[in-house]
Amino acid sequence: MSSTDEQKIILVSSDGVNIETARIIAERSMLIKNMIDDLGNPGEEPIPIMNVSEAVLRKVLEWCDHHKKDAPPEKDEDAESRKKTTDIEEWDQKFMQVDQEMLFEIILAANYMDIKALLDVGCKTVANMIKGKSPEEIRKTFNIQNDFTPEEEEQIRRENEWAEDR
Amino acid sequence: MPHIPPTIELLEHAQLQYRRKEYVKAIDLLDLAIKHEPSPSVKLLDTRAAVHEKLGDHKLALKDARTCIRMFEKDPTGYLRAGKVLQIMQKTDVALSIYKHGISKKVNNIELLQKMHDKLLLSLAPDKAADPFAQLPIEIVEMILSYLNFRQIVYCTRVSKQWKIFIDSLPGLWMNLDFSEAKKPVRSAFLSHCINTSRRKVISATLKHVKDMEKVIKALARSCPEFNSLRIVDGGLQGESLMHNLQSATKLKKLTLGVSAVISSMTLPGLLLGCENLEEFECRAIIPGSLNIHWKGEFPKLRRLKLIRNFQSPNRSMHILRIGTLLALTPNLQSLSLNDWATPYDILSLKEPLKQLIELDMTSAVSSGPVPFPFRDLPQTLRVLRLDLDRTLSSVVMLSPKDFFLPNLEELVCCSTDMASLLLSDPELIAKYPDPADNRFFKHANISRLHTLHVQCTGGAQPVTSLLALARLERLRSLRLTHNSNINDDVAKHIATTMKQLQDIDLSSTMITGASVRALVDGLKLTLRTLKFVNVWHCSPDAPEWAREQGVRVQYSQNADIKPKGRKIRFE
Repeated sequence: MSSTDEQKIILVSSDGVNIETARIIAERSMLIKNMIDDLGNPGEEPIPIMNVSEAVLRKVLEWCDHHKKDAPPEKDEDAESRKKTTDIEEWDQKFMQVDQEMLFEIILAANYMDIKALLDVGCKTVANMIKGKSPEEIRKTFNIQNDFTPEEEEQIRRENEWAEDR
Repeated sequence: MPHIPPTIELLEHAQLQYRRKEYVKAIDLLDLAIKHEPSPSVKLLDTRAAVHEKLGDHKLALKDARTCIRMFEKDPTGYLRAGKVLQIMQKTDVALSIYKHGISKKVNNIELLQKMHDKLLLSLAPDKAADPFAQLPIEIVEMILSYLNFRQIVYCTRVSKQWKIFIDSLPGLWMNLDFSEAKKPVRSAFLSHCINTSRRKVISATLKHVKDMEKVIKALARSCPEFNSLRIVDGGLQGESLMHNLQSATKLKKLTLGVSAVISSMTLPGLLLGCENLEEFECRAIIPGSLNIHWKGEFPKLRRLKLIRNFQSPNRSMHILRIGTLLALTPNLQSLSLNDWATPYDILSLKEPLKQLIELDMTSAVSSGPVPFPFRDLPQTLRVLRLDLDRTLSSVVMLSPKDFFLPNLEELVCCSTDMASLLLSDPELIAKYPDPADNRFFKHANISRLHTLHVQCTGGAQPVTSLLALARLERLRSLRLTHNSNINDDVAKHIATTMKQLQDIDLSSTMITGASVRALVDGLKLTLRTLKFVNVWHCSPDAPEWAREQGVRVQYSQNADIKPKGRKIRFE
């Protein structure tokens, strides 16, 4: 291990909590990586992560820690094949077994902190919650009010009847 | 006969008892009233249901509620009672569907039912559930939707107004229409909706269960200038009308007709002529017509051509498709698949017309009987060559190896060891070292890209060892040598020592024993993933079992009547 790997840095969550972590872990986030590159002298000053609370930041860092040795993200040429599958590796699946509030917070944090792989896993998780479900079940899953009038609902149903599952 | 008070009086008494919580007394009164009332009112039935509910007789309560629903379809009372009882019984899903049923019947006071329905739905949502469309920024919701297929996305427009408005506001979701999962007819009005929502930017369409196929294709071709890929899954179009409709789709680059879109070979020339920009053309169910097909036009853009005979077409002698003259019109073809046809004798040479050919596939799913090898030569550009596994190639020995120098070959599937040897040999080296005993092709190993070799060796004049001696085989990853009694443990040992990158091996219907299994698993420890032995009669079951223990996936089975009689190998 090089000295960069062991180097510690301090992140500050939106609610003002200092969290110490290894630079190699934090640099899964392109936001942090760019900040370190721009500022220089890593470890000297705490890095503020404005939009992410302590609980979410710890969760995100847990993911980064587990994936710190992953190969660097692929180039966009693989974008198409990546989109087709919603398979999620087992560890990530377990990691994403949180309540929806936390799930969305993680997705927002991954977006803000620019951690593409985590953002993908989050989006896949939500997609899998929609997949194979009827509109009624989707409403149930996400606590959504059906605000169509019966007439509107009937009209849409007639229009896209072909898309029904059975 | 005892005097029975009027129903209305009995009901009033019962309601009084109910308020006093004298439920048993209330039931007696209500039973009496309903028994003698030819047409009990909603109020009467519902009151008894309420008393049953209090008494914990949920089934009886439900029965009364159902009678209410049956007799008074437009009255919400029965639905509400049934829903309430079902919730007590913890059958919330059924309760929900009862409410929905009532709403669909357009009951009086529908708002009341809707309110109960929504309340129940909300209570069912998991803790901290939230609408992702409301919680997440647009670009992230768009990312989430990109993981769903077209059918699922369309289905999502039914969730709520916000979802529908949002999905309809993203033209990108409507550019690739895929109806392959349609289970009910797709209305042409929906197609119009798709075209409009995409802002006339539909790029590709997969059509199935589409009403008015003609109208739809015409609309796509005319109103969407970017439309370039069409796949028709099922029928509904005859060749002539398809030809006619595609004439407006001049920009079409890719056309696929599925196994249910049956078409006559006679309409193929006209179809092609209308689509001069086609790069890929695939027809999966061609009915052979007359032998003389008149191909016209020029197709320099055509890269991929796949023509499969409709497997249901009768009259085997007619299974011929003459495309010799067509190949002269497609100089840039890279991939040619002619499946389930008898040999087209009019294409003896491929070297001349198809100088760019990379892939040639002439395999058949249906056995078509023995026919001779159809080609005099093959282009050197070939990387993938798949020839029929069912055909015995007796004429192959007559051919000269100098016409078959295929240095770029990556995958070869064929049906005799002689033929494989011929196609994999380097003619220059043969000339230099005519004696096969020399390690004559060794030089070739440095440039060989061959990774897959499948030979169903139904026969061969030369021993299999001369094929396996080719140095070109050293980088194979997948090897299948089947149906050959010359393949024994010595051959397997040779494989294990010379082809060090093998991952998948199939030696079905050969003479190998457990010793081969051992040699292959031990010799290829680093790479081996799968082993297949079907009907290897000299190999007892403990050998594959042992291989499994070593972490190799093994497919092993024997024809039921034949007992393994091979010598036992002890595995520790």
